[in-house]
Amino acid sequence: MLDEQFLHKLDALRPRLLSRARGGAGGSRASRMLGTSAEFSDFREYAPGDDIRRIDWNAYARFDKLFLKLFMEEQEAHITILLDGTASMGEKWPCACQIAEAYAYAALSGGDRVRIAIAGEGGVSAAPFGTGRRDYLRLSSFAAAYTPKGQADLSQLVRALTPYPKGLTLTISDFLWEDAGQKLFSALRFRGQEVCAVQVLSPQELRPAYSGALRLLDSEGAPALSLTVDERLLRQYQDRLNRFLLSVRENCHKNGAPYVLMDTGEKAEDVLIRQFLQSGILE
Amino acid sequence: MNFLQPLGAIGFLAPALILALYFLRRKHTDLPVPSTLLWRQTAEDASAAHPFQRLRKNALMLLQLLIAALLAFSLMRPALPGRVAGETVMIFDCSASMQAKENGVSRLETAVEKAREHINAMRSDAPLTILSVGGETRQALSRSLDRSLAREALSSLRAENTGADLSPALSLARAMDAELGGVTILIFSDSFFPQPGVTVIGCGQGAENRALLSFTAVGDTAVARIANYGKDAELTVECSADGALCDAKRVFAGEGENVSVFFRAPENAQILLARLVDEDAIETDNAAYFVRRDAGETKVALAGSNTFLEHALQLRQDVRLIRTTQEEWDGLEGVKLYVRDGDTVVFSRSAGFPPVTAGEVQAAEDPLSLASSAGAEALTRYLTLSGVALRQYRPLSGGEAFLRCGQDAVGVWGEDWAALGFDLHDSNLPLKYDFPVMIQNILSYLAPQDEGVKDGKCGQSLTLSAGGQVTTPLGRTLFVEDMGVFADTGEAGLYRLRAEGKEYPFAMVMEPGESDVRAAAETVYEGEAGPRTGQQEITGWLLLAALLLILLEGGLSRRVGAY
Repeated sequence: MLDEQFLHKLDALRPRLLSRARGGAGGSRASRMLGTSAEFSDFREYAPGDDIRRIDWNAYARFDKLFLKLFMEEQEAHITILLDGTASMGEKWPCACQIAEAYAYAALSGGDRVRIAIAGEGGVSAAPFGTGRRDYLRLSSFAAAYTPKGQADLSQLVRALTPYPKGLTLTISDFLWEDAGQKLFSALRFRGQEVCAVQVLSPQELRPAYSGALRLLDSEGAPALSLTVDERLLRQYQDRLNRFLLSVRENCHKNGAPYVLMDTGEKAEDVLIRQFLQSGILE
Repeated sequence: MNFLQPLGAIGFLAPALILALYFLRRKHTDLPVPSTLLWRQTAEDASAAHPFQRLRKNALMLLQLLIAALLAFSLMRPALPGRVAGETVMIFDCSASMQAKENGVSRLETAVEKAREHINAMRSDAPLTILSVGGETRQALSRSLDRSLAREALSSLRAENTGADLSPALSLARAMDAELGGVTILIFSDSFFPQPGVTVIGCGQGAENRALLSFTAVGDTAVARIANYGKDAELTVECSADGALCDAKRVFAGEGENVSVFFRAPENAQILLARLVDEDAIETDNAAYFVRRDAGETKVALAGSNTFLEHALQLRQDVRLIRTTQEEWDGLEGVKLYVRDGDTVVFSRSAGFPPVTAGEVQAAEDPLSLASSAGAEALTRYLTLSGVALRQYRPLSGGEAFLRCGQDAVGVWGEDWAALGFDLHDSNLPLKYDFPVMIQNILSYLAPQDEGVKDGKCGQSLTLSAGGQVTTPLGRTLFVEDMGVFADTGEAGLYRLRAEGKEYPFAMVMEPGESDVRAAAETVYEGEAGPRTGQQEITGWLLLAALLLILLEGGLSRRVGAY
């Protein structure tokens, strides 16, 4: 669970969609669909960065606080936070949950409909879409209660997920697959999703400090690998890792997906907002 | 290959330990990781980039095994058959028995061949001395490092016709060992008994041989004495007279027996030769010569008229008796012996009276006896004086006694005279067999027969009374001075001395004791169970190889990665 101070920082942020939202209930996003009235919808507290033209000065005068008047006909986006719930995410799960919570909070604060779907052994477990900050706790509890296990083909699960309204899917995974996530991105695009990708890797995966004769046991049941790790091999691993990360990045780029690499060794709250803003996952 | 330290084989446990460690090393630490994807890809990258990685790993293990094996091997101190170090003295028995042929090869040839093997096994910095011992000891090679000279020295060795006394050569070798230390003494012989500190190289296996022990002739009859040093055999013996075959006999000789063979030979033949026709181990002793010697004339002047004495003197064919008086002796020439017959009988080489004094006549109360004085054997040999009686005598003084009557000397002799202290008529000695024998003894002592050069054994030195030219059995011609010593008698057979217009043949025979070659010495090594062989330890080379491999392994192990 993220602390209040961090969540407060997220108030002014919301997921960035490249395409206009469509359908759904009214949201904070400008829709292509033309509204027939400028019906007042809701107030939202002003956060730095908001358009000051939308500030309701009457509310300010009344409450001595800045509020934005949601009076334009705006529509919600359906945002799915797809968490990789396979065993490889085991030690990275807390960090993944933090990322999901932060993003969900930002999306809920922005008026989007948000759900968390966890894809793992046994299929996809999806919480119902939520709206408003009141659903933040529900969604964060849903993610935190899950324990990653087993292995799964997320691309297949995504294809079979229903309902899956068009919108945006933030994929949080380590993407440690042979295709570096390309099949998943293709499946999401097939389902009409804009894709964002957050790759979560642990310090042991990013900067392994092993040495000696080791037998690596894969958490997802792949055959064990016996190695004698020395400096040379570590250099070769780094080369391979860099190429792999580049492949993931390229796949994201090909699919128009903003990409962030999160090191679980760093405190998420310290780097999350910066990285999300830099990558364009949040605005 | 020998191993100087066989217990070092325990070091071969090391390769076994290495193998065990290698398999133990394969126990890896389990490490759970989220995903092995990247590691697997990395390993594949490494294999693709370094396809010989696995091979390098195996090569490392093989190198380590090889190093361990080399070290273990070196612990055993292996040694290759190398060359014998240290100085060597080879003593060759060149006696007549080394001529014996066995399977067509003489014992000396066998010895030389074995010596060559030893020389080939010697280190090039090991000095070699070669001594040959026949009639005398010769140094064929002295502390030489030149192996070609050694081979020449071996080739020059010849078995002689004499015996061999190896003691002087062995003493020389021991002296060298005492001075230099570490000298190996090898004796190549067929009859040397083992001694401490000496290695005897046996050069024979035992062979059968027959030999002519003696050959003599009287009148028209010649007798050869044959020894059979072998199994029962039928032997053929020929007799030649002055080069022409005159008789041949076939005789059976039992194992180890001596047999006599009689031949008919011309009385006037000067040189008789007996020869065994059948082949045997030694050819040299299959021939024997008999030389009839023309003694020439020996003038003996006799003053007296004792008939028995005259006959006794004339028994020797060369004696020409001149009956005369003492007064006429000065006018005689060429007299070898003067004999005065009277109440004493005096024999002398000169006309003058010898330094002998006769005492008063005494009755003989004791029988005549031989006096046992040194040097009297020449005069008393073959005498028994059995039944010899003496009536009276004059005791003699001067010279050495050779006859006694009681305590009195009745027969005395000096350097060139002899005397009897009794009248021959006062004794029955002239009627006894002893009388002519005694007279012949006195003749032989005072007027020996001129028989030219006597026969002898090979290696024996002869003093020739006359100088001249000697032709050896092999046809060599040598010159000898008057009264010179002729020592070149190594050849067996007939020699001829030409001196003063006359020819004096004489024969030298092989040492008879060398004819029995039925036994042969066995090889006895000095204090060890086997031959002393050189060994070249190769431990150092193995250690060097191991060190190089360690360096290679170190370099290779740095480059080894994942497997």
